[in-house]
Amino acid sequence: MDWSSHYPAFVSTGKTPEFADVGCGFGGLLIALAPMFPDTLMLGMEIRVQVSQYVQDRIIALRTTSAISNAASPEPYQNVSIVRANAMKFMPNYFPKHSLSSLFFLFPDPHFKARKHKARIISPTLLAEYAYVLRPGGIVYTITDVHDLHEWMKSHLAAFPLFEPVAEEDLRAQGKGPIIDAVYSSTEEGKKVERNNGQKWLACFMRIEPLRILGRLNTHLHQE
Amino acid sequence: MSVFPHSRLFLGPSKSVLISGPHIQVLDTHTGNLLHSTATLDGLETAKLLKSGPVRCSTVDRGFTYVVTSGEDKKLKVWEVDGLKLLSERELPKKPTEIRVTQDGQTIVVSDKFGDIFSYPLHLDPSLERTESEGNTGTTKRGTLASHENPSNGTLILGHTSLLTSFVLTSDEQFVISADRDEHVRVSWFPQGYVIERYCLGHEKFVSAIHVPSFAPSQLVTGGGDPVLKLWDWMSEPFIVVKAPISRYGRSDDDDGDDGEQEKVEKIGRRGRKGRGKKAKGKGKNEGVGEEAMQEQEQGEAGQSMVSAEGEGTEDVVMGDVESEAQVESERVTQVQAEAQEAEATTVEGALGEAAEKDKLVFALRRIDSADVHGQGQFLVFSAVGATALFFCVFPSSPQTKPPVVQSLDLKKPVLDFTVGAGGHIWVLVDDERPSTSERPTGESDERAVRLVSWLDGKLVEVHGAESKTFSLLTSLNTTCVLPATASDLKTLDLYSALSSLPKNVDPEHDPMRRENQNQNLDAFEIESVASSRAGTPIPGGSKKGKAKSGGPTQRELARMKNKKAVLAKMQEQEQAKMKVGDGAGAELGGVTDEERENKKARAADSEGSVQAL
Repeated sequence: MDWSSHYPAFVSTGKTPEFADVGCGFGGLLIALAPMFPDTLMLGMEIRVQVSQYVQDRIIALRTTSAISNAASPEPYQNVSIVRANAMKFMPNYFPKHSLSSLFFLFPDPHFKARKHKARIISPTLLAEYAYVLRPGGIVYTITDVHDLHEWMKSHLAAFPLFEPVAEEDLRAQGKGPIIDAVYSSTEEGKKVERNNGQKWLACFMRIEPLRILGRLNTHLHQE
Repeated sequence: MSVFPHSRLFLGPSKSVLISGPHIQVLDTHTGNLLHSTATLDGLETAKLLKSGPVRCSTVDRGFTYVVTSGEDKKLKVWEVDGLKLLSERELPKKPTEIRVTQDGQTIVVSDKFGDIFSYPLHLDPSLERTESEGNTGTTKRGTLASHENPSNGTLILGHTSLLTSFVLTSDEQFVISADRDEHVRVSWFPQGYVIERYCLGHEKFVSAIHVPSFAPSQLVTGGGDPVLKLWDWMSEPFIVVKAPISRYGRSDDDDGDDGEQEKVEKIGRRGRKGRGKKAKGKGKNEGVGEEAMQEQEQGEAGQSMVSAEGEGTEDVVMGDVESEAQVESERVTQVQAEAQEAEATTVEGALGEAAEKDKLVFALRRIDSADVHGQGQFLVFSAVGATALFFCVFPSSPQTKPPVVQSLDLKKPVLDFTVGAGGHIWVLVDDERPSTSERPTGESDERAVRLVSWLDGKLVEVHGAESKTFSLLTSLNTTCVLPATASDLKTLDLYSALSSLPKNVDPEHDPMRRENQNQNLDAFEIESVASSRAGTPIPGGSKKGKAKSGGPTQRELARMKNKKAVLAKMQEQEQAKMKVGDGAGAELGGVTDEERENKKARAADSEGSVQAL
């Protein structure tokens, strides 16, 4: 995966994205997070063509118009980019193993009908892929205004052996408060929920190491 | 009289199992005697069997005690080989694509078209079944698998997000390697399939066959719609060796591979300017050494091996629905050009347009297997859906060697499947119902459904005549095991469906990204490229060159272009400001980003009046 066209200012560093916003929509979260973590590369994935083009244009405009003169720190918004992609199918194509430290699922499509449940972004089979791209200790942030979906995501993540729930307070104590605040209110969807006086439910999980099974050969793993 | 072609053969030390259409037959491996057959079941049972349709997936356990089959009806049937007694019948959630049994014979593992792999106990415990079927909903652990419901209480091992074409369990059964239609090859723990060890990415088309050779258990061979076989070291950071098949697959009267090569090289040379294929696309992840090695090898072998594009025209009834193999063409030509050192990368669209006129061929690997032939070496053998040849090549012992040349043995009838038996013999099942390509007089060698092929000096040759008669199993397979079939039976068999079902319809005309870019008229495109070169901020995600679309741009696109122009205007303004300030500041041309930074420093000093130090 060639990141030089996405993050030209970081070409020499050889960095890969650490934050990924799955279904980033109009880019609200990434735009809010970019200045907070100027050394961290972040990528939005959006399946809709028009929306991803909008975000593309928005990022270019931000990069050009908000230039600062201090050469020591990286230019603003050079660390954020978007790709038009189907994250459910091609996540592993974009991110190397254990390369992400944060994965965001903000207000995903609820797919209310039972027969559409398998299209939900959180599913027992997809969680394996998210666990693959997330490093151990990495955090999955989910938020939604649909309570049923919240319960669904929470129970699936909790049942998955490689994720364990982490409370909002603990994350805030670790200094991730600004991220959580951005998750709550920086996106268009989030603002719409507020306008309609809806409720938001946050569920965060940490990626943990798999438990070693007794008798299992570990030699293969050490070759990495 | 029409007969069912044999679709699968399992060779055991004492018993062999043959699958033909909906029927299963058990033979004695040495004498060839037909021991049991589902064709001889009495009325009611036969009717039930036939209702299940042709057997689509099957496997036997290591001890040849059980045979597991599944037909059109998604029912998983477990039979005892001895007596062909049906032990159990379970419903699968989706149509299966591959069935395997673990070495201990206790677990059946099934992959399906939805993309999941489930495991089931081989022996069905009726009491267990009853208790688990209650309490299926709610927030129980079962509830969290509601999206992957299983009517037979199978355990979800793992899932892909597209059709799972094939999987293997590694020899130590610690890992499961699975491949799907979205070009992924995934190595996961077994049975904890939710832990993904790694991906082997690099295929550009669906992957339909994977194989781990028993003599090289750390290597993986994969193939599919790409005209290459890829060899991976799946246990560590995968590096790949790419092997391009020589052939003319499809039909041809000319058995001689070498002549074919020459022919093809000329034809390809004549095609002239072509685009660089999608090899450059950033989807694959080939690490370090492997990537260079791969490119080198591709260039090296370009002279030796080409892939046939020329279908054999109207005679080729087997190919069915064929689609444009344009990608293949441009890849191939890329190899030629790489060698000839012609550079220019033109558009993919250009290449596709030119290639569209050519004959179109779809390639789908059916099965890959390996043979360790005493005294002759180690080989890989593979077959393709609809192809009349069996392909083989030497198994490369070390990655540094050039990829081996792929050779083929044309059997004149489409190869349905093959089984590698003891002593290096390969039993090839062919579709006798198809008309033969050549006009050879019908001798005995033409009318047999099962061919025996053996190794001679490192090449495959067919075993004919007197020698073949010593294999009574072979005779039996071709005579006593042949079961009659009606024309409608044969139609439902649909043996070559993979050619139409597996490829994805990636029609460049319908690629939404491309159309969007086309809508921007060339004016706007120039703006973009100027912007890129001036300010050094290429558009994130890159923009593709495209030919201008005939219709005008839509409102939305006009608005977008307007915005872009505004941004560019602002950038130009800022640049001009910088020009005025100091030529000294801008003189350093140490790279685009440095320049940009200097520009911005100057800009800040001048136009924004801030007190930032230079």
